[in-house]
Amino acid sequence: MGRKPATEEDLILNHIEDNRTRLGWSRQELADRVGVHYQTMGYLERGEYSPSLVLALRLAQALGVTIEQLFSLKEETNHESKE
Amino acid sequence: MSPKNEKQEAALEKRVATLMADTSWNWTRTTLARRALVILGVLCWVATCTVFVWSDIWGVIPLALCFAVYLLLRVSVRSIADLPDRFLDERQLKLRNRTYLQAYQLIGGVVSVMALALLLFTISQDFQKADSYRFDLSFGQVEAVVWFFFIPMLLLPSAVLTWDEAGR
Repeated sequence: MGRKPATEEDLILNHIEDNRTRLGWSRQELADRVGVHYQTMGYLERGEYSPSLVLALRLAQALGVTIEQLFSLKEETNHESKE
Repeated sequence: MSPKNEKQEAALEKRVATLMADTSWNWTRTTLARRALVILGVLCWVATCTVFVWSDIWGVIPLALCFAVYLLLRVSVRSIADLPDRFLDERQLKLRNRTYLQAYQLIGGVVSVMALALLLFTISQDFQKADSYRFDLSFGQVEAVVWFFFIPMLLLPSAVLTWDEAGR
């Protein structure tokens, strides 16, 4: 068996939970603000689902941060830490 | 939209909101319960077809169980497999679309097996020099054939979704 190829979810780091707790919001509250089910918010925070661009922008807007502050590529992070 | 349609739409919206926020049926949403429901659904399907082959009446018991399992499967996945697109978020939509593909492949497998069995039956009849193919079926056996196809069509989308969600 070959190595399992990396999925989109494996490659993306997100800081949704950090930003949500900073604002003192529950998952349900943030989910309501961006128009998704609270379970979907759980999948997003655990990195098990990658949002569409529209949802990513909505999340960034709701949390008051830029999209780059909310999501990054893991490769980028590794590259930055090497530097 | 007519006032009647608006009223129906508002009622549906309210029902979906209740369903999506529901926690009273969370016991159907554990990994074990979800796997058990799917296995129970398959067993009830097999039992319905088998019992109807032998009896015109007693097959209604596993059939009733199939419908009960169907309702529980729907509750377990909050009817994601059956709701209109506008009530689902993007992850749920993606999940629902993938589920229907898998369900289609599975039902395709079931139908293919039946078609192949029919083909093999006719070939075997040819070897026995039969002039025509005769199927003498009782009412119960006709029911068995009907439910053999109808139950998977009813159960599969929610069952596939439930099984997938149980593994997450």
